[in-house]
Amino acid sequence: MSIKSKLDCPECNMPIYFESNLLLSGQSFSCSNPHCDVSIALTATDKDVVSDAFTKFEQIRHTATSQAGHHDT
Amino acid sequence: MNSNIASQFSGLPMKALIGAPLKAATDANAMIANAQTQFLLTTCFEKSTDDENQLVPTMVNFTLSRSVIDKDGAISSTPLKMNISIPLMTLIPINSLAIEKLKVSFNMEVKSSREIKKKDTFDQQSSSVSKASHGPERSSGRRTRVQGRVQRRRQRSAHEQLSANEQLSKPEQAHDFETELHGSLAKSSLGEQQQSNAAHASYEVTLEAGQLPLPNGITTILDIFSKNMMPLPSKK
Repeated sequence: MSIKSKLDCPECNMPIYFESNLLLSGQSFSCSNPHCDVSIALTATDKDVVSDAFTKFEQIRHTATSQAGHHDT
Repeated sequence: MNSNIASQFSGLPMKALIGAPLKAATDANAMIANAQTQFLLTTCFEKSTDDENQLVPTMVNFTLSRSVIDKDGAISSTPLKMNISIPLMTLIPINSLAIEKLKVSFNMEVKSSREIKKKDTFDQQSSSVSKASHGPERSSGRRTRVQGRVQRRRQRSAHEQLSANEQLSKPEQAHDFETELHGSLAKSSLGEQQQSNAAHASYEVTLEAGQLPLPNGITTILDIFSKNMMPLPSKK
């Protein structure tokens, strides 16, 4: 499952939105500021570290969602 | 009746009904926060090589591309690429981990029902039998009348006269009959009354718990990380 997130642009501090799946596939993401032409992409060497972090985060989120669903019923 | 229905709510374990889901949600939030902290400490931080008791953020490398203006004053056709090291923590949307809304709905319905059944049955039956028996009837007057008729017929023919005399000499055919009258009278009545009352009462409790904000410490760390992300030119 893809996780949507953002990080601040190092140049203009405007958000750069990205999706985890696309980020891990090596795709670059541009700054949301139309006057800023910065784009970033994850390097291949750190792909495993980021992938592992997103997987663990997804597990926590899944556990939280199931807990909330249990109490709703 | 209304006061009786209202009194039905007085015995409700409201503390358990409302408190238990809220406590469960709080426990869930605490569990999430604990898991989140563990995630941050184990995944987003690593032990320092200099001091094992010190944690340093895990950094991931990005390639940043941006356009530059060359020495002629025009935008360069080939973008400049730089390496940028970003804390892994800034990539994770940590603030989305919380139970955003909790709604507890409790409905109670008290039904008061009263039923009165009155059943009257009236059954009367009477019977009577009357008997009457009748024997053969011989009246002289009747015979006289028949004879008289025979006398008048004698003038017609001797044969007819003979047969008429035979009839007269026979005793009259007697029928003994009995009459029984059976009479019965039955009267039945059935009456039923039913009275039903229903009362409804509902009680609804709605609780909403908002999204938990990030702790100040994490917010500060994220803010520092974000402000100190400086791209470095790639070494070629």
